[in-house]
Amino acid sequence: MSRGPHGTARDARDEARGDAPAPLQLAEFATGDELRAAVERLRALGYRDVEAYSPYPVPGVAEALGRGRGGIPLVTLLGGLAGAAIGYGVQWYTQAWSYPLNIGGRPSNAVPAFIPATFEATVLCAALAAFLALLAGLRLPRLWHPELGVPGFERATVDRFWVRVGGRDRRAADVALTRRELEGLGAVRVVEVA
Amino acid sequence: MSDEQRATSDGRRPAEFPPGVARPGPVLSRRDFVRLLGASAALAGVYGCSRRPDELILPYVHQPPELTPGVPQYYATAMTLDGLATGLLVESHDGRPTKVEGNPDHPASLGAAGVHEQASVLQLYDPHRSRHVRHGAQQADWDAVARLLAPVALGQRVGARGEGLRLLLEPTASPLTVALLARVRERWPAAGVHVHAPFAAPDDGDALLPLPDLTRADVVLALDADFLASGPFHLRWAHDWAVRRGAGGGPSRLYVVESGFTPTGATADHRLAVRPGELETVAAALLAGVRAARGVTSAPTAPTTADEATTAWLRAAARDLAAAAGRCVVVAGPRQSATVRLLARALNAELGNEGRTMWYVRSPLLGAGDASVGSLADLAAARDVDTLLVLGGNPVYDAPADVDVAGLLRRVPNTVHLGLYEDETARACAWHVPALHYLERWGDARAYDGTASLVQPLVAPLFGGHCADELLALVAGEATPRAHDLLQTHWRGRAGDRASGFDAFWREALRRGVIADSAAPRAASAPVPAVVPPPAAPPRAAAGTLEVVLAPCPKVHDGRFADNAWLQELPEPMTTLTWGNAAQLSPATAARLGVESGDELALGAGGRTVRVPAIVVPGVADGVAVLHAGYGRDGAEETARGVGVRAQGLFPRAARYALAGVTVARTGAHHELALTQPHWRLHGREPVRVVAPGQPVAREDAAGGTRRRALPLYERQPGAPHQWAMTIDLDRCTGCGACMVACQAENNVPVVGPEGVRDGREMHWLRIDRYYADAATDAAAAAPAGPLSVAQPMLCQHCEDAPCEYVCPVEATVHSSDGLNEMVYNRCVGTRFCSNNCPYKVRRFNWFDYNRDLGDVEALQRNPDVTVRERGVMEKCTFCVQRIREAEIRASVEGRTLGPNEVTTACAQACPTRAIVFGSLTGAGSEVARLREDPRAYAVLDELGTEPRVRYLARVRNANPALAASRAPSASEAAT
Amino acid sequence: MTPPAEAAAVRAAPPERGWPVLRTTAGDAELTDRLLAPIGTTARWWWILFALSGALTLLYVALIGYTVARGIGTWGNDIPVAWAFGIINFVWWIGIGHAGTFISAFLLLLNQKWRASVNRLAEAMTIFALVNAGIFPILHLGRPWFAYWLVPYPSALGVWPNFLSSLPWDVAAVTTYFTVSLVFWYLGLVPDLATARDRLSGTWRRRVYGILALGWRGTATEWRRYHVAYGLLAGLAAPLVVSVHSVVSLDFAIAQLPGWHSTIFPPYFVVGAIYSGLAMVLVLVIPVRHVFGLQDVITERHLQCTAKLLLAMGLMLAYSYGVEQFSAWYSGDVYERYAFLAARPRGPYAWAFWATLALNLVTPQLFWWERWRRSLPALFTAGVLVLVGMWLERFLIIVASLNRDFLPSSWHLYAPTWVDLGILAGSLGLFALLILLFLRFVPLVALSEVKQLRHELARERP
Repeated sequence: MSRGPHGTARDARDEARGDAPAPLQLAEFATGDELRAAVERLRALGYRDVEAYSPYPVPGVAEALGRGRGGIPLVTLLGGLAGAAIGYGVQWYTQAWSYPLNIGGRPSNAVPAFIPATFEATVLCAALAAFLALLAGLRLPRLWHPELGVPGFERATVDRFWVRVGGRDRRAADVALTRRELEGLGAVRVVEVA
Repeated sequence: MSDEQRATSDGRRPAEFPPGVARPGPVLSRRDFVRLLGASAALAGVYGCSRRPDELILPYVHQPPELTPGVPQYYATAMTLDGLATGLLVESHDGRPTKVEGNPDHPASLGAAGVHEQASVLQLYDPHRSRHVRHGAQQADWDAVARLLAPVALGQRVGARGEGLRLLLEPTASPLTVALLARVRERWPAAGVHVHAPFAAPDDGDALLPLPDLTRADVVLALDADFLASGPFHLRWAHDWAVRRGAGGGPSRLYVVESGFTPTGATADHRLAVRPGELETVAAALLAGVRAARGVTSAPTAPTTADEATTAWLRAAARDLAAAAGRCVVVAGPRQSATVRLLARALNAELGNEGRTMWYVRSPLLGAGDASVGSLADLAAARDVDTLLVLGGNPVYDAPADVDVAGLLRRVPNTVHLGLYEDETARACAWHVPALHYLERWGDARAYDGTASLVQPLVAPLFGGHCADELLALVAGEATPRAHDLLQTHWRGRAGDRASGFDAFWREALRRGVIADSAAPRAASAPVPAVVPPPAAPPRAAAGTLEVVLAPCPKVHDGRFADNAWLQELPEPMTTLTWGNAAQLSPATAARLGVESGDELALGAGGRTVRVPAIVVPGVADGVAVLHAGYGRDGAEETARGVGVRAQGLFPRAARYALAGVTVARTGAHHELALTQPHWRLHGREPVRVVAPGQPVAREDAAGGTRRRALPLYERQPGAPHQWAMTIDLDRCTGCGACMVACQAENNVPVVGPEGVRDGREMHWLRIDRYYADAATDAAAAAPAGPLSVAQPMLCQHCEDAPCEYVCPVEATVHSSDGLNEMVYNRCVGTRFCSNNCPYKVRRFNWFDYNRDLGDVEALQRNPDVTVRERGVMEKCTFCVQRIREAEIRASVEGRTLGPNEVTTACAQACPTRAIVFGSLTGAGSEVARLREDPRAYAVLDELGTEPRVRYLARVRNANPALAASRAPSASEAAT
Repeated sequence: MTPPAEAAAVRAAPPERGWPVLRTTAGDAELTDRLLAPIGTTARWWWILFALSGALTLLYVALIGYTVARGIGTWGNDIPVAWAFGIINFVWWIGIGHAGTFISAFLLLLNQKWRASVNRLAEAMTIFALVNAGIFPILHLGRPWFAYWLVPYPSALGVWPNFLSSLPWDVAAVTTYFTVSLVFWYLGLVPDLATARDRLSGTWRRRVYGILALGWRGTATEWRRYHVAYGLLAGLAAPLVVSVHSVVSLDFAIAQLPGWHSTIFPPYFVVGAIYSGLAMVLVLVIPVRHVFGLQDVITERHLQCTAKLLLAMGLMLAYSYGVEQFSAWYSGDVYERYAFLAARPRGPYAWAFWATLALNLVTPQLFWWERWRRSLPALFTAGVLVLVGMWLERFLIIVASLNRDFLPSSWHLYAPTWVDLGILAGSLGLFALLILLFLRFVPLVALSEVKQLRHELARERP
């Protein structure tokens, strides 16, 4: 499932070997610090497909999981450049090329006058690009995920912290072992997602 | 009673406005609905299509005789006001007269047309005109009138010799009318003929009218004579004065002595404000002064005037006149006492002007020097009158206060009124016959100098109706008179002997609009009584009283044009007051009375009281209040009803035009006057410049520094062969307002009504600004001479770097390759940014749909060549682009290039002094290009770098050195 | 339940740097519930205000209909004062909008902690103010139904907008500003909508919030990228705060009318905009924190900071006024001098001039003293006075400049009609209505940010 943006080459090879994906297990923690510790430990233990859930960003977690910016800045930059080109292009085309008129004796390609609209177009396109890049990268909107069905998981957006392992992760294939390790990390409880 | 009557007789609203006037309330009021019904009924089958009269009418000389649909034709005709004619050319679109212009061949016009002539075309389509013959409250018909006036029936009532028959006419010089009257008196020897009009030309007993030749007058002195802007011959005089003013050898000098403040006074180089009662003394003092200056021993001792400042002024003026003996003119106002007019004659005689610059003609008016023609007062006094024909005029409204016309009309059993409207007089008469507008009827007329013209109809009667000539013929015994036949019969008798024969004469007369060599012979001199009656001692100004002057309104005259929305909304030349009249007071007088503009005064005299708002006008003589006649109407004219105050109500027969000892009191009420220009000071700015003769306009600004001017950043974009431009000579402009009405007629400019004007929403594309150009405005405004008041026609300046254009977000106002600042109505969304950025504020906005209530009848007047603008769009002067394009097309059809002076705008065409010149800057012999190089030429607000295509020529002030000190020099004069 | 240690820590947090940003002792769950409590409120005061603002909004709609049906002549505008209430209201509302973006974007970039509790409300204010600001420029047109002609689209007419004019710049600027503000606001809302989805009862509510939350779960990936995108949007919104009112000011500055034609206008307008916006923030926040008992989340610290900003902006505005007058005098230009040195202080609208100075320049001087910065009535009153003052400033700039320009012959006074006044009142009604709906349906404080901030503060303690 949410392998999406952070699958690794190893996952691909596992897939190639045709191993069945490991069952998903969710562990609930009480505090952000415990969550960070748990995540770091799981990575150390060699779990590859780990995801953390928190009501607010817990410092260190994303780093521990090696999450990147997903190319959003680049997309934004490109959006901005495109906006600038469109903004000035439209003005030049309409005033200086398509239908030039003598307006107050001003030149048709009035560069200074074209700056404000160009700037606004730049900002608009850049902002929309950033927003869409975010949604696209996160595969949003996607209203349903299996975790959302887990009783108690709704507190993940309120005051509880969860970790998920499983999926294309050979290490998580041994359900019992994984469960033990999660409990060993101080999870309040561990749930297997059907 | 007609639909119209029933619809309007319940006028409860204080003021009614014609269609096109912004008015709160439902989309279509009941009154509008009924009026439209009436219009539709009266006009079944009129719209758009031809309404040409049955008889043959002939277009103006230079026009092709055949008619091409869509191409307007011009017909020569003449309009009479107070009996004297001005020759006109009337533009007709497919049988609809749409625009009045002057007839270049006519001596009273020379191609110009005044405000009344220009606006008369709107009166033709006035939906408030009466539409039916009326007897009592019943609708009657022409046959009933014919039966009433049939010889037998009439004889039985008025007696065999017509003792009981009375005719009341407006002053007329129509040869046909005069001849018909002779026939009437032949038939009814004892019938009485009376003439009345409140402001007709005077008769000094010998019936001689002064006919100055102003083209040769180096010095002109006017004794309370507004000869440049009013009167039957003013277009000609203004033209002649301007010719001399602009001629080489330095400008002429104009002295004006007057009580009110008139355009002529504002044009004067030296002006003296005196109370009306002082004028005889002043005139006598001038005569004495002139005699003294010329060393005539028999000079009577000069009557000393009130203060030595006045005496000094008169002495200087007298010396100046004497120095220009034979090259000067003294004119006296038509409403001055016989004494003043005779003193003026004496002055001209004394100065040797007779036969050089001053001539006299016999008055062509009916009854001039003819004692058998009585006055209105005689009529009112008459007893045993059975039948009274009121052929035009509105005596019930405008008779002197002590002449009981209403009583007379009650006394007389059979009263017949002929008029355009069911006005006050019509309502007091048993019978009413709708009159024909002059654009609907046949007739003839004479101008001030006697020149005769034929009046030909351009359109068949819109509402039916008849003319005075037909009624007279009826009384004279004709069964079914038709004006056209009467006219032909009349002139056949007089023109038949011509070699060319009558038809040739008739065609020529119709085509030219002038009957060749019909002018009266000029007399080189006029008799002056050996002893000019001694001047009456000026009445002592009793404390708390005023001398009140009654003047014809420059707009609605004596009230006959009061229903004309164009004229009602035309700003009064000196005060910019619209939609009403007010008592004009000098600042000193106002201060003494403790009133400000708008405060209501109660003026009382002889038990009569008039309540009228005051307006402070610097330049009016102290202790004087000037009232304009023609307001406070109560007839069927909805537009006029309730607008302004009926000033005539104050003045008895003995003092028709000036009344002394009028008590004045504040009523406490206040009116918000509908002024188009509330601010008169220059605030250190120089939209108008004034220079001394031969001086160029100042190259420095008021502060003495070199003028700062924004320089163009970009090079000009390539242009078309013609580059249109305009110059306006402020030294020739009298501010008469003819250009404004011409523009309104030509360009379908809507009317907004008094609220609209108060809200600052008047729509005139061309307005006339007035400024007090003195450096020390307050001092000058208080001085007896009054401020140096300069009129400035202001219209779209068609800037080459137009500020309005670059701020329009939708390219609705852009520049054409031939230099026009174009306004694209269809593209305008109405941001009004262009107006905000126009430094001249000449752009107008359609705040409402001003044409929503446009009636079917008025619609006929609209110029089909000009878009009628919709709600929410900007509009402004287009340099009459429709005329430019029409001329270009004509030129290309004729396969030639358009000349630089070929096209003219409506305003330039109407201007009697040719102050406005329009044309192309390119091409040999371009008049405009030459004038732009004149040392007096300057651009308004040129420091903004807008590069306007309109240039102004500075006003010249040709001061008499002996008097120059009497006024603080204007800013520009100081700077030169 | 939160470990007592943390809660204790928060409680024990000393009021360093004046006043704490948060004083709450509640755990995450409790805090969440308290901050979600206003959603679905049915308090009487809410219904009363809702009825009042609803009535005003209906008046608004009716008068807009009347204006469009009869024509712009129903307003008081004339020649020369061709712009009046319509544009005044436009500039005023759009200016108010600026504070929201200023607080949420600038303070985020400057890493100001006190931003967290108020940014949501401030941004909502921005968007609702922009709704009003968007109505006026269209409504004041002579032919509003052709407003779209200002947008470049290929039409049968074959003509285009004129980009030499500042009005199409306006269209671009306001549209961009509205869009970006809306995106920024919504993005910030997503995690809280998820919380609402997971915490609130009621199937329909959960469905609606669920859809709006787009399926947010709060994974490490989501948070990471969320912050990247949010930071970028903040970085893009910040220059907008400066640019939008600069462009609006160009509607005047590119004209050569004395009183408009001035290079100080862009910064002058931006400062004035943020100034009025902060005033509106005070006017909204003070009652809101009171009725919902949020004193421990929106603390004195927030009000103090806003008051200080108000003072700072007031001083910058004073400088702008000064420069305007000085350059008029220094230019030696007769028209400029008359407009600023004669017409404004002594002309027909002198009352507006002096009122503007008094309200905008004197009022904020209170906040040199901490006791006034702490007084809620003083803060609230100051907010109202500044809002009035800023409206009058725009009245002065627009009407008092237009009514006396170059040629004295065309000078003419201006007076609003009842329609003008009704429309202004109506726009206030619509604004209030939208704020009320916002309080009832949207988490009015950024939950996740406040929780995060709480833990950061806890960690910060020595």
